[in-house]
Amino acid sequence: MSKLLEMFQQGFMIDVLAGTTIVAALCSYLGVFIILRRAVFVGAALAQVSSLGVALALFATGAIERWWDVHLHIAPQPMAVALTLAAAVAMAIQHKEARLPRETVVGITYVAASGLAILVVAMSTHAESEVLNLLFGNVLAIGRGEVAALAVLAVAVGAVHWRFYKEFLFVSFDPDTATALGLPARAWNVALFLTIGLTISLAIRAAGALVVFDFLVLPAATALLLKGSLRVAFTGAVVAGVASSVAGISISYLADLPTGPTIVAVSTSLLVAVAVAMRNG
Amino acid sequence: MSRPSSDRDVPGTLIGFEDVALGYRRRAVLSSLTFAVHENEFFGIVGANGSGKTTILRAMLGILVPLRGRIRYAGGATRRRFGYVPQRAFVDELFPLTALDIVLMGRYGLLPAGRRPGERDRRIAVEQLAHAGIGDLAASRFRDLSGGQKQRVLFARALASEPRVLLMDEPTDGMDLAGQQAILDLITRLRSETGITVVYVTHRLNELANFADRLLLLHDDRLRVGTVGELLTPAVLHEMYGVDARVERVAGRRVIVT
Repeated sequence: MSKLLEMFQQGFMIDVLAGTTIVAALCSYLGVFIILRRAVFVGAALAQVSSLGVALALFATGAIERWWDVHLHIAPQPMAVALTLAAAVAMAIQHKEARLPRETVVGITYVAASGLAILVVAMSTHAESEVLNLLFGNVLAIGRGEVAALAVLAVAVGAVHWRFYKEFLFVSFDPDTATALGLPARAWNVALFLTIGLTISLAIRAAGALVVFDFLVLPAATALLLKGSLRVAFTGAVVAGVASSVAGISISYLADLPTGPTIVAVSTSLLVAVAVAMRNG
Repeated sequence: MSRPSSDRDVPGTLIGFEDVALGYRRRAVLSSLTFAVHENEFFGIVGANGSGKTTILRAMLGILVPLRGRIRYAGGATRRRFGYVPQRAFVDELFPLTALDIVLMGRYGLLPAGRRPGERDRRIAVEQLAHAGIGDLAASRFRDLSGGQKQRVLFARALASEPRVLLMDEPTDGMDLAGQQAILDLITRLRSETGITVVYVTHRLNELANFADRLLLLHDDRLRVGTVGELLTPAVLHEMYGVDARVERVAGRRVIVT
């Protein structure tokens, strides 16, 4: 107990808790859309595209310096965001009549982005640990600035979803009828995927790919096991995500375990517990 | 396609197809489509699975853009107001939505972006559920309903959009005789109350023999448009389907006998 109190007295742990909780709440909410749209691997693919953006920025900075002897810092984050948003738009507007199914395109994107990111990192002049940290994030490295950035992101994405919830729901549930009733379904799909892409690219730098993907899938899956309305699913997902985040960080601190995998273990346990309870209930 | 009708200039035309070609991936599956849907009529589109009848419906709804030709709407595309009943099998049951949630979606096209449905929208949705005979199922989850009840939910959603035209894609598919009759009775009642235009897609010609005003028959590469009286004749049925069929009257109703 005293060790738990000690955790809350440490400034950096408060930042870690705050940052991870924001990521958990936002990703868990968006995860409901992602699961209902059967687009779980879109999240994984966008995460890899975001990493590729970081790797490309680092590589470009080093290459320009080496080849032209000019120090031009290309910021990894904007590059990651830009590339992720472009991929999110491409996935949102992929035509129903495309020759390859969307899941195949998502798989190709995932593999291509992962491989390219590793290749680009191998050619980069930056220290490996620096690159890995930028690529995969680290929950325990979340600082005050990142918490503030994540809070701004949460408010912006939350405001867009609060205002346009009905449009996002309609084009996700029944895009044909939405089009027939006059809604620009493709534009709303793009807007929804942009919020998902932006969230993934910023969240992944803070919390890492494993934790972000966990929050995008497990809390929403847990909530959707409950036999409630869509509102229950969204609320339940956010509650499950935040609970997993706080419990995971606390357990990892107390037991001196790696934080990301502990969060995943907690959210998986929650999912299994709810599944068993629903089956027996 | 053979024998396109040439009724596009008839007064009261609501939707006019003018030499339209439809298809996917730039490959036309239907071409030279020239016909019109008139105000206040019951227009049936009849064809076997894969004949292109749903493709025509999707084009009418603006979901599918024609490869060639033009589709004209009375008053312009922006003034069209559709109620759409999609095939039940295409409605995603993963979403934990109630019957009322789904019927409320019928109101979404009437609301500006960013505005949520209000009390009036809720009242209309509840009324349409009652109109469809499932007022007591408003809070039930869509996925827990029977096939007939789901169809009525989609029907109520279409009506909640206050449509000028009701477009339905195989609304009685997979239903028993009583269920089919109940849906057709609902449409008949609605037409007598409001005079709404109905476009109804089915693969069962007998289903529409006593309900439609005009038909569009699709079979292989053949297409005919005309009134029920013009098309439901042994000669036309033989020409379209290559079968010897009679059209008989049983208790005042048309029955196609092969």
